Amino acid sequence: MKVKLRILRYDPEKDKRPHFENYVVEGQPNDQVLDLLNQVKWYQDGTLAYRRSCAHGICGSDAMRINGVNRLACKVLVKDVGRKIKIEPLLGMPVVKDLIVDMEPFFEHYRSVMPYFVNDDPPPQRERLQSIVERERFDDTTKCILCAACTTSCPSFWASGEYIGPAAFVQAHRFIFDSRDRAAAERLVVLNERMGVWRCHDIFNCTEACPREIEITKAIGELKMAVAKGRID
Amino acid sequence: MRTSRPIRSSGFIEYVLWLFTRFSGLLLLLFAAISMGVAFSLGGRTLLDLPTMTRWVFFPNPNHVVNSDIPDVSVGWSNAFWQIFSVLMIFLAAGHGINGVRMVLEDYISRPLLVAMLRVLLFMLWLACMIFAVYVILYS
Amino acid sequence: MALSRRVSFLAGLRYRGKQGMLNFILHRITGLGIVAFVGIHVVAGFFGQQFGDDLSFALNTIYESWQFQLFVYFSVLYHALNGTRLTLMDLFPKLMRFQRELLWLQWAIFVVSFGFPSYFLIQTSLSSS
Repeated sequence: MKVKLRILRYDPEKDKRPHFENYVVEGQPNDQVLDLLNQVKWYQDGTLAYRRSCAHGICGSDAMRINGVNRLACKVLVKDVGRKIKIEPLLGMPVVKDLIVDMEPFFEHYRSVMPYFVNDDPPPQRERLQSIVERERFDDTTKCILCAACTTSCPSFWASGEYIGPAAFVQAHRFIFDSRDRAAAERLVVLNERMGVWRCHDIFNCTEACPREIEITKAIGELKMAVAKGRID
Repeated sequence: MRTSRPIRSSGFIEYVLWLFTRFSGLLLLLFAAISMGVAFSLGGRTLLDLPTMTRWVFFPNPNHVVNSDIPDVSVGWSNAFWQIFSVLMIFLAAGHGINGVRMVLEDYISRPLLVAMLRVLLFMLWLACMIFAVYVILYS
Repeated sequence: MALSRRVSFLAGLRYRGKQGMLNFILHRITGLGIVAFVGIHVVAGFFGQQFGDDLSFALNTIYESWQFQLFVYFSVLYHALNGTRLTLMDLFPKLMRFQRELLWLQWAIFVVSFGFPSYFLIQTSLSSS
């Protein structure tokens, strides 16, 4: 089966502006879109640049816009998107080359919410225990693989790169609602900033884009309530 | 549970406006429902068409609904309750609308100085709306 | 507060978001529309009443035509329903799990409550003119 790929190419050293290039490759309905990209790179045009690593939807390297929606190239099969596939880099971050974007703006926001465990209490004899219910509270947001599909699908992020963005909110949620963590107050202050949770307009693009099916907008909604009430419950 | 400090950072005003947008929206719906109910109870059950209804729902002031087919609209409307009702309604509606415009502008205008100027302009607009509204409601 | 925008308005519109994004765009358009209609109506009403200005009368005549009323009614009803949905979800984040169902519910309510009045409006307007 012939599959037509339309890829947005851009090499900042050569091209003035991004342009589309067409490739025709042989593909099976059960092929990943990533397999097709590999075919192009290995057999047709070695200059095509994209990130990939595990190819199993765990590393979060190959998020890109496939037929206009942010997806992981390794989780989308040809039968899901049809025989004409348009592939573009993620929106809202500077393109390094072709489908590779500079993730620094994304990780800058990620770092701003303190995405690490904070607890200065003296460690107990054995472990910091947590009940099943307490663990369940933030289970959904532990699944994040930092692929940036959510943040770059958010109209608020497109409007302003200063917006902290869904992925960082997910990380904040993961630690704020962890019963062992002690830095919730500091994180809530960050979230309450001008470009914090109040810029979320419940558009649900992030929830629809997330390859791990995290209910991101719901997590942000819980954060909003936590900031509004000044406490977590 | 664990946070005790009240949360106040640079976004406090954003939070207040976020809350205001939501509650003013809900209250405006309530006000619209009240106005509609009053329009019906004043005898509009069979006389109201959609445009007249819209007039009532938006702004139940004798000035505004005087053309509708309901008899004697101005009777019993110049009392404190309806004046406060109308002023409150304008306050919520103008605040809701102008804050919405501010949100949209701040999303699509990236020059800080321009944004600051527009904010001042919008605030003046809101103030003008309120002064006009109070004048119209109390003195006409 | 310098904004660094890297995605143009049109590039953003080309993103194929699902219903949520459509509703977001419609919410903004109808919201700005209401501000514009009400603003023009109020200003025109004021000038018309105070100075007998011709342009104001013309504007209000357009405003009160049944076609335009239909348009205003669409904006207001849509904005109100969508806003209610957003407010409910913001106040009760648990509801966000059912966001797609809520969207369909919203459209169902919208179709019914927009359809009947506008049907009668069109009918009476056409038969009277």
